[in-house]
Amino acid sequence: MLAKSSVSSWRLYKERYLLQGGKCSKCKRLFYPKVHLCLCGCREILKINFSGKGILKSYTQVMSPSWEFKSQGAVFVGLIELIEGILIIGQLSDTTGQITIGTKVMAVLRKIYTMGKEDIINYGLVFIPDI
Amino acid sequence: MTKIKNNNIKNKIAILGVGSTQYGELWHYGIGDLIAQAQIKALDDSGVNLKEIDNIYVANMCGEIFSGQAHLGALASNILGLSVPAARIEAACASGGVAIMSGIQAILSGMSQVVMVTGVEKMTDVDPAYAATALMGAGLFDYEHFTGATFPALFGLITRLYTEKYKITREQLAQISVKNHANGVKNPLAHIRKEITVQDVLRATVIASPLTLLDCAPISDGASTVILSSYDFARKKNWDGFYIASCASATDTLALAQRESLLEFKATQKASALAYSQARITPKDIDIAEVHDAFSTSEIISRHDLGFCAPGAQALNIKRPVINSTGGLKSRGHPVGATGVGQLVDIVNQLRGTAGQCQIPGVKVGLTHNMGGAGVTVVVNIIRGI
Repeated sequence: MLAKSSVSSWRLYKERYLLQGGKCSKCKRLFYPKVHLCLCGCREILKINFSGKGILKSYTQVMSPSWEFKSQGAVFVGLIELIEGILIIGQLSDTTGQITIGTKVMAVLRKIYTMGKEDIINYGLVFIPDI
Repeated sequence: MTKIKNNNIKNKIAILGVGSTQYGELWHYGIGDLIAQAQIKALDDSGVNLKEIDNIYVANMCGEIFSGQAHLGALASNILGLSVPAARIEAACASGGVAIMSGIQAILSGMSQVVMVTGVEKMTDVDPAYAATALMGAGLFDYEHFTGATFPALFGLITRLYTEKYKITREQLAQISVKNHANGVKNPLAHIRKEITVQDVLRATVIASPLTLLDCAPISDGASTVILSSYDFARKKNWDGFYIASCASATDTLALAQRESLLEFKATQKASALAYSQARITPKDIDIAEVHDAFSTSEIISRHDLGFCAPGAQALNIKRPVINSTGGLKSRGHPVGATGVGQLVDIVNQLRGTAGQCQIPGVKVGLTHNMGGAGVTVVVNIIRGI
């Protein structure tokens, strides 16, 4: 089955907790997640922690979630343009009332789901209204 | 990209035989049964002797996840009692298209004269939520799945952007599914043979807003097979003259958010431009097309990426080419590994004039458009007769 060990989450903690991506040292292009090679061919990709602040550009309410999210019933997922200028897909939370495109959002650490027989908790960043 | 070198018929890939199983919830059949049924249909259609098959490719995305069965190339060879080279090709929902391309490459390389390509997926043995997780393997799993996104969710994000940009109403979007279901009713092999209305689409269960159940292709079981050969082999057989005039493929970023634009699929634009160029035709020359409508939005966007119209409202009302005459993925069904092969089967039947109640009269040039992921891998084939 698809269940992975918790190690597969552990090795991604910088990306998932710190929103760590990459910045090409030559053309300054930004990436999330990190890449090994820039589109310009440069191999020197600097690590950069994105702010987590941005604007909601699109969203969807997932009413038929995948296996790991099944117990949550429905999940809101958004397309966010970070203030650094790149797009990122993230889970939306604390969306009381109407979701509006153009809303300012910010990333906060939350429980995402549990995995495996041990119910190991996976944490990650979700986006909430930046009020 | 596969480049068929010039317009000389000797460099074309002959289509000797085609066959498809029923698509649907086929609980009586396992993955091997489906492969066998499609293989036998195509063999009977082709007039090829088993011993003449040089190579087998099997297109499949999730065999070991849905059925516990990997090693599908050897399985397909075993079913026929053969011991020829055989391999599985995986490119998410474009597995079928890429397997066909691999078959073409094998023939053009000179290593094979006759190649059997079977696409198969056995999806309904697992919980749909589990299937949703597996299908997210077509995206950048560690990041996109972790957000709670499903594949319909990625298209939900795209749909909201596209419909707002081009002022397309929810009712207009629903017309795509209504049209494909009206076509699928006439197809005895279709998964869902039921006419629907715009109101049915709007009132259906929301899967990932704004997309409802009736905007999304179903989870299906099924298999399709084509038998391809070199021109030199085909002309010695009882070949009806239909061939692949061009086959082109392109890829884009797995991570949807890393695209330059979410309102178009660059991979479709690149693959189709190359396919038209190789076949020395333009989009206006296409009479009939099977377009990858995993979601209603993907058909609209693909219509203009394939050059049939401009983006936006124009994409809603095109008379030519005829699109998804056998029901598309929406009604015909979407056993993901089989889909790209099944599209070719349907186009060949249309060009032969053997499409039954789905037949569109007078069609001469057909196109298949097979997409894996949210526009990540795309394969475009152009098919015609001598």
